Amino acid sequence: MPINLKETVEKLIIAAGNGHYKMAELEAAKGSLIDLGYSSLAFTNLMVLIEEQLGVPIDPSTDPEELSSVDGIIQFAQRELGESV
Amino acid sequence: MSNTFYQAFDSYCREHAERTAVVSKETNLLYRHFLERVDQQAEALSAADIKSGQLVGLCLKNSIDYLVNLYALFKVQAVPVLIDHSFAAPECKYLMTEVGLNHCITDSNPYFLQAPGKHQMLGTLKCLSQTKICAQAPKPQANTAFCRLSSGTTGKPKVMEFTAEAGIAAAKNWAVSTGLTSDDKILCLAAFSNGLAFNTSLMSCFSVGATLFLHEGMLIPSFIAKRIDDQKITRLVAFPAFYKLLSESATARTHPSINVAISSGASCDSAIIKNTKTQCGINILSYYGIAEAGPITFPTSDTTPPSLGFAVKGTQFKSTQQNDANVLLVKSESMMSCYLNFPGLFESALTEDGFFNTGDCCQIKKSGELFITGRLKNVVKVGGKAVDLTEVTEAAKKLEGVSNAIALSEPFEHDEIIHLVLESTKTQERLPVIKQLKQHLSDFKLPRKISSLPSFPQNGIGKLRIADIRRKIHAD
Repeated sequence: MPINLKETVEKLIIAAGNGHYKMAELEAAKGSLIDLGYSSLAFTNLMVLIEEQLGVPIDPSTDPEELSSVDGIIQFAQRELGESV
Repeated sequence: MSNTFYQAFDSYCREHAERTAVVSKETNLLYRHFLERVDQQAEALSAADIKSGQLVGLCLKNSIDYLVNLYALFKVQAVPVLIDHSFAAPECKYLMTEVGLNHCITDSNPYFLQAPGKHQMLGTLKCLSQTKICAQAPKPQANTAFCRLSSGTTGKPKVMEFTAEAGIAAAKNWAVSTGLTSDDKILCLAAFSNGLAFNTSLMSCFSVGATLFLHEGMLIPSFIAKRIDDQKITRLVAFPAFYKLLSESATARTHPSINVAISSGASCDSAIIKNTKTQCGINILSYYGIAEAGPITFPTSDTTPPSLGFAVKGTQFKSTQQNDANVLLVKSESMMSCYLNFPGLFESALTEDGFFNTGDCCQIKKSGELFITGRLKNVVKVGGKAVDLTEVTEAAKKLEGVSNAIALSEPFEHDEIIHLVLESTKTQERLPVIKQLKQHLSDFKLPRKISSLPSFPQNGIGKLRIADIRRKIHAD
């Protein structure tokens, strides 16, 4: 698990968006993918990156809202991998 | 209203009684149990005052409940209206109040959960019923069995009416033309309200006694890849974007059980087809179909992309010259009858001999093989869902500080995206624009890119010069 998880998650969010979203926009949205207008395709790309690059398996039945913000993704990752904040 | 559609479903269930109809996370449902559940649910619907001839919205995620309620509605001879569960409030409100749905069954759509009316539970689902239907609301034709939705230009989806005969023909012709058998195990990743699922995986599956595997929840390629292998799925139905993810996944591997992989009703990018074949051993078969007429073509072993194959049983197509282009005309046994809420509109798009003008540009070889070469209509497919760019443009024109707007389609990698261009003296930031657009548009219609120009180039009669707008936004 990367040391600076928040920074890593933010980079994954931008990477999954294929250049359509800027870091400044994510920050202005306070980490909310919903407020950013994140597309469903970018969201699916993000799930793949979370699995492959953070090593966090995602069950399809996970509530997508739980993963619709930077903080939400961090909490999910830490819970799934049993690590504290 | 007739219950021909239910009668066909009933006969399939009896014929294949001991075979598995549907597999979900929780259960494997035999055809005879499927029929029992449908019949029980029909009683529950009647007890909830859902009656013959009434328009009943189904706004649910894919589930066994979806299928049970769909066929139960056919049994009570109500008219199901299949609604995308991600539709936003404006579209849902329009359907309820102006189209005049009598009821809407939902699991989680925020609008239907909160809208005024009578709310009651139907098992684990919620049913909203209107106590009073607007007098101006249109009435479906007497022989309409179900309705599906097509994109509209003003936030008003067009409600397509279909007869039972059209629905049954679509199912049977697809099954015959694609070689679907009772040994098939279909994993469908498209929403049931979408034509890709409805025409390739529901009644067609049940008509031959095949098994439909449901996917519920997020599309996680690693999970789905494992499921394909564990369940020995023989037929995969998905959009190009999913095949791309599957083939590019770090865990991509071959899936020998799959003998047919269907892509959405548009030509799948050749790079995706090639990569999916190389990495997953899956040969994607792209067919051509439209909401108004169902599947029109299917590829054969002799065709290669970008060919979309030959006419499916029960369909015909030809071309006509329009605006210096060869435009595709289609006719099929599974064609819609009319638009419930736009009387005369469908009929005006028909030729004298009953062919529908698709607005797609084409090339048809002497052999009858179809190639799509472009598009006259202002529609883009986003994740398999048709988005009329005019709708996005009109919503954007309402934005604060914006004097004009135009939504354009743009190729991006192997897909198309919506690029919204705003005429404004100030640079428009993404977040406030998205926030305002969400008041009018469902999430899948939101633009991926947003640009601003201080003024739009126009010709002498005030028409926007689109090519110049494209040049300017890419120069920036």
